[in-house]
Amino acid sequence: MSVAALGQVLVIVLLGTAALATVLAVAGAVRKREDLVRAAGWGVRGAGWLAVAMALLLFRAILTHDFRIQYVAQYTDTSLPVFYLLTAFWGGEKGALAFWVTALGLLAAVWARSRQGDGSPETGWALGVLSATMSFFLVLMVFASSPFETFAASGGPPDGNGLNPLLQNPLMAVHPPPQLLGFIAYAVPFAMAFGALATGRADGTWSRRARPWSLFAWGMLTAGLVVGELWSYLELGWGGYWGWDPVENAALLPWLTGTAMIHTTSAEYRGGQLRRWNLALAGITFWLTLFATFLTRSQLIQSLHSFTGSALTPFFLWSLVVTAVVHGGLMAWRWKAFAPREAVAAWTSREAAVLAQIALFLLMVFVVMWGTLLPKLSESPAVLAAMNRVLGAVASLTGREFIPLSGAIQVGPEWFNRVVGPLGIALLALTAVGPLLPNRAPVGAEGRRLAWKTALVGAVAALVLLVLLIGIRGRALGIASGLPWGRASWIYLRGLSWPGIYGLAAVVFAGMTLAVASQDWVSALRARRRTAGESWRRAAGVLFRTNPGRFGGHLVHVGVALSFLGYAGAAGKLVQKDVVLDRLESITLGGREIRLLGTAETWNPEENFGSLQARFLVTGLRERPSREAQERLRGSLPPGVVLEPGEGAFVQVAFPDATSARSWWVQARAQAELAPSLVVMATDRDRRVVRLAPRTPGILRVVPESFQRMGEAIRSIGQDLGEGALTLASGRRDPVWTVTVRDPEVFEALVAGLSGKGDPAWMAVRRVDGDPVRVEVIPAGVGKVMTPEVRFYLRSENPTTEVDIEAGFWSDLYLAATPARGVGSVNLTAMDHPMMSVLWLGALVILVVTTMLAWPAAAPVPGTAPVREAEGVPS
Amino acid sequence: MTGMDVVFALSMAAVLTLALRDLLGAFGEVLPEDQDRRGGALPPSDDQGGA
Repeated sequence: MSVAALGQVLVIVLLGTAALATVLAVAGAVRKREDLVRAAGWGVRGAGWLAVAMALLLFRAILTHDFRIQYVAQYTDTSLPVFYLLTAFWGGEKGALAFWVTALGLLAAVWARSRQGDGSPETGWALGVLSATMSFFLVLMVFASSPFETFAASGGPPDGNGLNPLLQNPLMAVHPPPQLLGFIAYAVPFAMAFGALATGRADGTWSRRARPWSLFAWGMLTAGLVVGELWSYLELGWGGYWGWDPVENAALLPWLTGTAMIHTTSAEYRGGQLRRWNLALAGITFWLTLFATFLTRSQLIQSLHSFTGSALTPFFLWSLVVTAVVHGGLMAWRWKAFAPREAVAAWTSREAAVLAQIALFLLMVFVVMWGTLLPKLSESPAVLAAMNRVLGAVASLTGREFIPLSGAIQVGPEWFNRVVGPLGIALLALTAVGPLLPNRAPVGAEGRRLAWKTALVGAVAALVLLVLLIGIRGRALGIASGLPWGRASWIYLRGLSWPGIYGLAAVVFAGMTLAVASQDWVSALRARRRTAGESWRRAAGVLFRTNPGRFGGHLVHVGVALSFLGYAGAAGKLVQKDVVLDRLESITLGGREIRLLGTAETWNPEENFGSLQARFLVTGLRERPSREAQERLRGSLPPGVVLEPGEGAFVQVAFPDATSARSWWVQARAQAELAPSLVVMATDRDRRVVRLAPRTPGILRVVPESFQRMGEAIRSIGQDLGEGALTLASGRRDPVWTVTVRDPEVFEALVAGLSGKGDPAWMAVRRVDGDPVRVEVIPAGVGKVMTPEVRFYLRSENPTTEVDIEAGFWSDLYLAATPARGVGSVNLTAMDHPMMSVLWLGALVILVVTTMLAWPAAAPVPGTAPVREAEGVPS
Repeated sequence: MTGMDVVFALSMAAVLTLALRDLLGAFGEVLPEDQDRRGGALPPSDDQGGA
């Protein structure tokens, strides 16, 4: 039996098992038969193993290049490295579906195992939901989109299509699993909420048990989003990390409600409040994961994620309707049973802050959804007409002039930033203030005093950060413009636009959040050390274990604040977009000079891509070549030359005569500019002819025009030599440049430079116009060389950009370069985003702490921290 | 047969055995004579601790 046939059989058996488990679970729950529920539990566990077996089969088919299977032929080829073969599992829709089923099977099995022996109707309903969800995806696999489908007529192609090059990147390869796992894992809290709703069990047990699951799902979603952002920042070369692309928005939606749910769960098990919200958010989050999948997989939105020609759209549409109707109906039916045990105590209580938070998150969901769907919906004439009617009616009521909408409405990143920005800042403000408010009580005199104290510390911290941020930009502006520091800072402040103002507001609240979290941690640690005599480390461990919700929560907030600081860096962001630079031309950016040294082509035979690399020299505006660099340069020059300071990073070298100057710069340029990409095939000293071929001919397979580029580099030397000094001809059939040189000493210099070995003591050389004895040289060892590149793949028409980044705290220099139309020139996007690395650091903190919180041993239990009362710290 | 084939066959066999064990477990729950077999102690429940 072939792997494909075995796979098909396995998928059908799996569907049968999951469907049977659903029937058993629901029957057991309805008829209150414990044995049936327990049997369903075993069935779910069995289905988990069967799903693993199915995944093993697909991995096997991919690894053995079984091109009889359509999926394998479509997304892999024999040249793909093993790592990308493995990641091709989820590289296409069918594989992503198989991943979905496997992960859901495993998570459901782990959950069923945790409820082993529990035959309660509540567990029955939850098992029913999990196995029904699994059955739904299996139906899709069996009837619409199977990864084991073979070619009907032929035995398959001899080699496959290969993986999309955009996915051939370590970050993109690992981005889908956490993203999908995050989506999938929200099925578990939803199933548990469903169980509680169906049975009317309102004691909050479900939310306590669901807590580690929702933390796990949230952590995974966060990881998926962050890896996606990082990939977008490093690979796409547009200088941003979040473009409000429909797919990004879709992934963000469940994350927003998931974040709100983490906070309502705490409120529910602290005082039985916000129960209905908790149930609603579990349902909405799960619904949004389905919605996100629908949006990305459907033809509705074109993107890298929407695999064209998907047959899944109607299935997902129905699943959305069914989930909404059933969950909404159950909520309405059980509305009274889940009334809060006590009302929210006061508007200065923690619960009130959580409520405000829910409102903000839901508003954000609405705004993001609206902005994502509106452009698409308004493409339909009927929708446009309806909108015009509504807007017209509003206009006639308010007496304003009305201009009807004529075409599809465009919503760009600007709009999202303007609308979502303030909501994000408001949420950050709640993050700062919320933990200061007491649970189930209005804030007291003691709490108020503490709140003021922390707010003051936060304000001071924020002020320091703010002054530094403004100062750093003012200084750069001052260097560039020659204005004094204070005046330049003032000009910068006055020129701030909305993103900058949001950024500065974010700095204030992020500073406060950091202060609140550290104040609580430090005072609790001190109290433990005083009362129990523990070491700092031990005390920290005890605090985290006994009250993970509070102290772990603070740490997650620290991560959030750090991330916001990263976003806030946008206030000091400097951008130069799409500047076309020729060799040795430069731009300035925030006190730096960025100069194009040249380009080089390379070919990577293992991964079948050729890259065009641009080399930039980055120096400070006032930076001059060091004494050592000048000495090293002098050591490589003929005796009798004089070194003088030149413009910026350049040194002027004065030669004794014009001939020796010319010989030297021809040799130097040949070594620096031609030798990296051209190799000497033959020389004819008598006729002064040298034949040059590309060093890595493979590059011509993907970038044929790079041959012309190499020719241009030779021609550029010829132009500097003068009319007729150098003639160039290309081979008719072979990619070979034939160079004929007029003067013998220039010929010798050219050949010597082309065969030059080792690192030269210079990075760039140019002659001085009208002064034949002088040459301008940038010595090696000045500034920093950055090398962004563009990769061209053999099996794909889409090139990828690889940016180069010099990371730092106050400055994060980002260079992305693509070849411009003029041969030899480069299209550069340069950006300096202060505190960008803090964004990634914050994300890392969030992920580490969430992992610790979701870890089963540290599953949050309502802990009692004796410190709290001793210190009078509100909790 | 390569080493990878052996690893694959063994893991497949192991996973399918575990699946079979769990599916038989399901039958064990509903078959009358086996009902008492599972009457042992339940795993500790996390229901304790007030909400």
